[in-house]
Amino acid sequence: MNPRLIGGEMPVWTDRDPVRGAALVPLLAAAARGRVLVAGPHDPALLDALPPADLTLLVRGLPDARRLAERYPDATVCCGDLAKLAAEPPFDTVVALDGLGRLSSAEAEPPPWAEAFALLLGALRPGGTLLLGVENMVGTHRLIAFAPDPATAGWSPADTHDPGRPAGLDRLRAHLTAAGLGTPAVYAAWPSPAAPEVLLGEAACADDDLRGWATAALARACRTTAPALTDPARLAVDALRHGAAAHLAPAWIVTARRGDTGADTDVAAVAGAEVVRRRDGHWWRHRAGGAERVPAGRTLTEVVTAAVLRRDLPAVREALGAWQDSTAAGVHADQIVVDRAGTLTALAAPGDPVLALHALAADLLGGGLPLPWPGPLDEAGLTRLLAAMTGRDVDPPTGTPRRTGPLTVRELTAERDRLARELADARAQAAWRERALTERETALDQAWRLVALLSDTGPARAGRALLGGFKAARGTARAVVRRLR
Amino acid sequence: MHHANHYYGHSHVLARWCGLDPRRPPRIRGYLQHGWNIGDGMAGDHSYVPGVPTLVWSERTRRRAWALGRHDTYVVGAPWAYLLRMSPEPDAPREGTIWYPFHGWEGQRVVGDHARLVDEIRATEPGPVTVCLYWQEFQSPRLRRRYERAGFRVVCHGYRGGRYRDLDPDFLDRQLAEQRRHARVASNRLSSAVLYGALAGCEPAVYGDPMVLENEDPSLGGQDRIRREWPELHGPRPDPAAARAVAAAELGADRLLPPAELRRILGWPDEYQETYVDDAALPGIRR
Repeated sequence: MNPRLIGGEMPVWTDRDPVRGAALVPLLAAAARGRVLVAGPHDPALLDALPPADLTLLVRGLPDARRLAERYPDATVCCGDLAKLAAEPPFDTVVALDGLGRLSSAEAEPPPWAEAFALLLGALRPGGTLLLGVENMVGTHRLIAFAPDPATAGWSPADTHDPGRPAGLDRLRAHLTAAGLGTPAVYAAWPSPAAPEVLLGEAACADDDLRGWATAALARACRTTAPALTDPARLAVDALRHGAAAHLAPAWIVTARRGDTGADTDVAAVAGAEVVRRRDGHWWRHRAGGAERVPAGRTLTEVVTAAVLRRDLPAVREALGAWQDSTAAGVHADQIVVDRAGTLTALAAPGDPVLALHALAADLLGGGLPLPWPGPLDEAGLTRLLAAMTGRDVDPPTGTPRRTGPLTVRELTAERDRLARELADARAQAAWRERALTERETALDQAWRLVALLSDTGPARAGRALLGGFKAARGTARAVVRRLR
Repeated sequence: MHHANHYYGHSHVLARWCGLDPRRPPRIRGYLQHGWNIGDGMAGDHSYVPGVPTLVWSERTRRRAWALGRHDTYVVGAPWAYLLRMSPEPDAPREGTIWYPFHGWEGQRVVGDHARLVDEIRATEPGPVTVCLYWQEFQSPRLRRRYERAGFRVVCHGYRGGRYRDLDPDFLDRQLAEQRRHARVASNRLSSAVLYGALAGCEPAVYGDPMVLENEDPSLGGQDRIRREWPELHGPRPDPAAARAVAAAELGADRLLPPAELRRILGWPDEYQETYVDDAALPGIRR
């Protein structure tokens, strides 16, 4: 019978937001061997990547189980609590990318993390492979989040205060090793535990050669317009730059083999492509159609931002000029890698160069950086200035700026402060201009009167009369003097 | 914006660089540094308006201005450096020294022994000497004669201008032409003129009694600090290459903005400004 009700099943429950993401597919495909158990809610696109013959799926909600049974008639679909799965013979591969939080049923006391982990591990035979997702309780996704709505927190929201849950990446590794999983490979996953789009192995997080590529991938994956405390893309890229990417990732994806002592972490993945460091020390990108060398370097946005902060305008000019003179002119600067020789490699398809400049301007302004150009500068104004630095005169979109980034508290506060400052400045300048105008008007008035008096034309009749009177008096006086002589 | 932007024809030179009519440059959106100093680059007696940026010559001045509390400050380079880029070096031999005795500005007075200075110049300078006086001093026949009697040629580059009047758009051109006739530039104080000369290809020197400006404010370190911080330019024979590098940095010659970019920074052209009218075409002129 499919689905099999193993106990603890929840008749009207559905787990929303199953873990998903094309970046997970290569890991899944590489790990799945023999009898495979997939525990917890997983997106069908991930399940499709698995051989259906020896596949067992475990979910706790009956509607979910029925849907799966319909979609995968050859798989064994179990519905119920993980604890009830103990009777099953062990599996060669156990997949729990959604984590351990949604494996227990409402019918039982929710197990602490370590207990759930032990139960899951119990389903794995010696030498088998575990693929596990672990949410980072201080991942960037949590650092930027507003307070959650208590009403929707579920019936077991105590994860963050579970003393047995490995605290941080190092303790997670130690926990896995102590459980007999050798040296696990841990991939830092962005932008969220439920939908990772970028996976970075340990070496991928640390190797400067891959930084440009990884930065571009993070900028792309974390781009969002959802409200947040601060821009997740900026935070993720900062974390990568400062060597904290592995520790601040929203989730870790672990692949580990029972009894194995070695793991390959020289891997990074995004949707549709996997990047691997070969023995030659270089990173190669594998995708359908072949492999290509990943350019080593930094993104153009990073190069420009660093030069802007150093106030090195010649360097900014050079970087912008090289970009706008190249075929990558229409590619967003955060999707271009600049290698040490200054060669640009575009990681995305080109669009309109003006919009690409506009995006860079928005990025520079949104970062709240001290810019080396006098303000007040809006996105259109800075776009024109950046274009002028390349010798171009462009006409960017004006009017109400289109919000390209997220609506964040940090950016909103900065914007409010900027507007308040600009208003105060504008008032002071208006007062100064009033004074200057009055001064200049007075000077002009006096100059005109003088011109009229001296030119003997125009409307200065009163002045002429004055001069005329003076001349007449002088004439009379002279006549009197002549007669007296 | 500020009338001091027109001093020495600075705004005129920048208008020329920007491809605008240099006869009447538009208002600059900001306060332009108009002389080299060891403070924030700006004149202490001007009033500044919040939100109006300060445009200084060099990165060093910008950093110093920041440290002195002037944060809304940006580097554009000195008008002199722009002028040099626009004026090709003439193919003529250079000879002698152009010497700038330290001077006060409008309303200021310098106290010092000019006779002793004359002796020191004669003892130091190998060739003919041209003494350049500020217009106030140039108007004093007594002072002019003092230098002429020593056998020096005496010149004046022109008026600085003030409050939009007596503007002298050709001031820097005259100064450049004069400096390019000379092999050396010297003064008793490190000043804009010495830095200008060094950048214009003269061998610079700073020596002799620096004299005292009446009511001079030494709060920023005064002459002692200048000698300590810029030793490359002091003495009768400093290393010309090192001095020139310092001058280029102080004048922001390495930071000049291309015309299109400078136009954006200065807020040019002024969309309200009307075409310049020649004297002969002024309304009301009888022909």
